[in-house]
Amino acid sequence: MIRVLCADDESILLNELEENVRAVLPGAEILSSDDSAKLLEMSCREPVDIAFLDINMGTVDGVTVAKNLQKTNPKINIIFCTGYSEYALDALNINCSGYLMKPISEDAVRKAVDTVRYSLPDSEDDKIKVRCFGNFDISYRGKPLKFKYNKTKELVAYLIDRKGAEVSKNEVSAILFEDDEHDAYLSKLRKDLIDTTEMLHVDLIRTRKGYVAINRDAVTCDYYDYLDGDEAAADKFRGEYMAQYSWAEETLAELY
Amino acid sequence: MKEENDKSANLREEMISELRPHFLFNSLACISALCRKDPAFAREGIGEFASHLRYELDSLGRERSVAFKDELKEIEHYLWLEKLNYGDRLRVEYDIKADCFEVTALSIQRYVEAAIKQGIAKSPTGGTIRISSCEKNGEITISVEEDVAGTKATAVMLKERK
Repeated sequence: MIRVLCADDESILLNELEENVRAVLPGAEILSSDDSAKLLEMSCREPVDIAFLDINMGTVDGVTVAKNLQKTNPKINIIFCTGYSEYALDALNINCSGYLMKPISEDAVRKAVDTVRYSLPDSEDDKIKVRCFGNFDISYRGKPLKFKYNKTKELVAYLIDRKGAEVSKNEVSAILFEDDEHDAYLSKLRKDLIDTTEMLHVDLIRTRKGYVAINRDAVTCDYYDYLDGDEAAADKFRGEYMAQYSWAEETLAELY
Repeated sequence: MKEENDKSANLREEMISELRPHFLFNSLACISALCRKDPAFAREGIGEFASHLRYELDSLGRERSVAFKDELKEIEHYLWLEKLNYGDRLRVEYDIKADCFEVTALSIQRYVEAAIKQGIAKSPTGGTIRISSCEKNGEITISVEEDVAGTKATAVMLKERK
């Protein structure tokens, strides 16, 4: 999902900007701020893909905010907005993606979005990437996903192996712990899974009372691609499937 | 020859800067946004904008003497536009005890502008601007103060005997 930050200390203009962004990027998550102090704090915290910044805000300097945002996400597209162009040089020094003059029309926003400097995440980038051929690996936007417990990763692997089918707590316990008396521990693993993936704004699992399943739409998986008949995925299979988990041998046998 | 070109370039820059283009474009952007949401209010805004711009164009680049009442009218137009920007953050109080005298056009407006820049603009909750005038012993005192940074600008002049 594309994340956009809108900042202008005039709330009438901020509102207008939000509406224009919504029209141009209907699926995007929009963060907005007309409070310079909060904006400074936000800029150090929230990675966003595009930021529309008023270059001349009352209590904080748009260029400072831009620099903070770039530290949080080096591939951010900064688009400065101004009433009058005397700050053009500052903007260029920042490697901004664009520069808009107020009043800003929907068309101007569309043009700025169409010509961004760094490409925007497409829906594939928003999926969690899972590798089953070889050792089981799980990553997001190129970085391995780090759970609190190793068993959480094994839980995800098992759910992936089940291909989206619902799995009962007892079944999971039996697989992970080789007995079924670990209710409390299982809850911890579930919490760990949810906490870790919540930060990514991805719903990795679906749950109902006593059952859990993987949400296939949230993942890109070589095994699933292989099952769909993808030739590139078939090439990736070299005789190993979730090599670190012994319970995976059953599925491995089916793949031969 | 070059000296003359530099001089006129500087002069041009100065005049443009005096027009406060940033403020003009921000005001226009706000009025533009209002066209959809509140067209009647937007029309009012265009009227205020025109009055303010006319006064500026008539006054810039020369020392023009105007009735204090007219300067106050201009300040009202100007503050109307600034309120589009600041909303509730900009509060104004008037304490006008004397108004039958003349001032240089835009002289007091510039005090008000500075008060906003030094005070209101620097506070997320804004503040109050107080514009006052009084006469004592043949002297007229005009003050513009704000309660954020606590600045106060004062002009004193002799009342002309008519």
